[in-house]
Amino acid sequence: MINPVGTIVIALILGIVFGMSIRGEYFNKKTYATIFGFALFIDIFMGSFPYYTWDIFVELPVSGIFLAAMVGLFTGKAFRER
Amino acid sequence: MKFQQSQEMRNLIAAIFVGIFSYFIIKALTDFDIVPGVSYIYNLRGPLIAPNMITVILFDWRGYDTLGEAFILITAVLTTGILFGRGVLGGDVSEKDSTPIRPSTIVQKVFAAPLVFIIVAFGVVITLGGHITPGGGFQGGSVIATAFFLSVVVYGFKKNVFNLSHNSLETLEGVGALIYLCLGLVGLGLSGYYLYNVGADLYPYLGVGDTATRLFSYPDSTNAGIIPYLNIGIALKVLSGFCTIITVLWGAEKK
Repeated sequence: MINPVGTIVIALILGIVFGMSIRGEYFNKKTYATIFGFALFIDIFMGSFPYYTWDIFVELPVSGIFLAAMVGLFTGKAFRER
Repeated sequence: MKFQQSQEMRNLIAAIFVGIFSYFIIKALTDFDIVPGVSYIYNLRGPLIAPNMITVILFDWRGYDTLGEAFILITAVLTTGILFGRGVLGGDVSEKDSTPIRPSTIVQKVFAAPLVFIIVAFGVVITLGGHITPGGGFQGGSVIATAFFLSVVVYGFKKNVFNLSHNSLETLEGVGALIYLCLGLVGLGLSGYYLYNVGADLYPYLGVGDTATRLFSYPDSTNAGIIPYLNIGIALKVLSGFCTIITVLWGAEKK
């Protein structure tokens, strides 16, 4: 990638692409709460994996790619619902 | 009439690309110089950059390895389609076939949809970190495909969480293959070697300018060149390949 930020951007784009193919009928507030809880746990557990993005979140050691992919999935799904 | 015209246009575009690809292949074969070829330079300089030879091999021979894997996957999809896919890929999986094979429990129905989100995000992480961690396009694509499998098993084919038709799978596979081919051609055009790892730190040792180096490199001691981009292409291809297989097998199970 051009730099570590590039991977975050590509993760966001891939998340949006996959999120746009997800149907909305199985998701409600409880589902979103479950996803948020799981995602937070996994993100903290993964730490700065993969390691070349750690200089971005040096104060907040979470997986930047995982976070970006999750945000992209939600964004893509929101696009689809519109 | 329109269909015929579009078919002719597609054939024409395909012929042009086959021509370009053939030219580069012939050029590479005629210009091929095995001593001191790419392997010599890799063996000489690789350990000075990467921690050990395994990493060098993982970085710079991985493209060829993945090319073989992609061919195996294509063969698997074709074989599955020929054996089980009679009429299924035409999109005629009937409404009766939309129910799961066995009724899902409430736990499965509640937790499958959130898990799909998590699995897809994890697959993206594995794909994008593949050049520096144990992972890659094949593994990442497989992980994302398991999200599709899970939703098909729990919710049935027609009502699964993903809205992936055969056409969209075809498009996804085409985009993945095109990314892979184009990156291979970049290496072929600039160095004479198909799938040469343009942008890696080894590149200047071939005596070629550093324009492409700037384009594909990032400021990291373990610079992987085009490998991360190859991983993205392969992930899309593997994902669509596995999803096509499950589509075919699902139709075969019900017929």
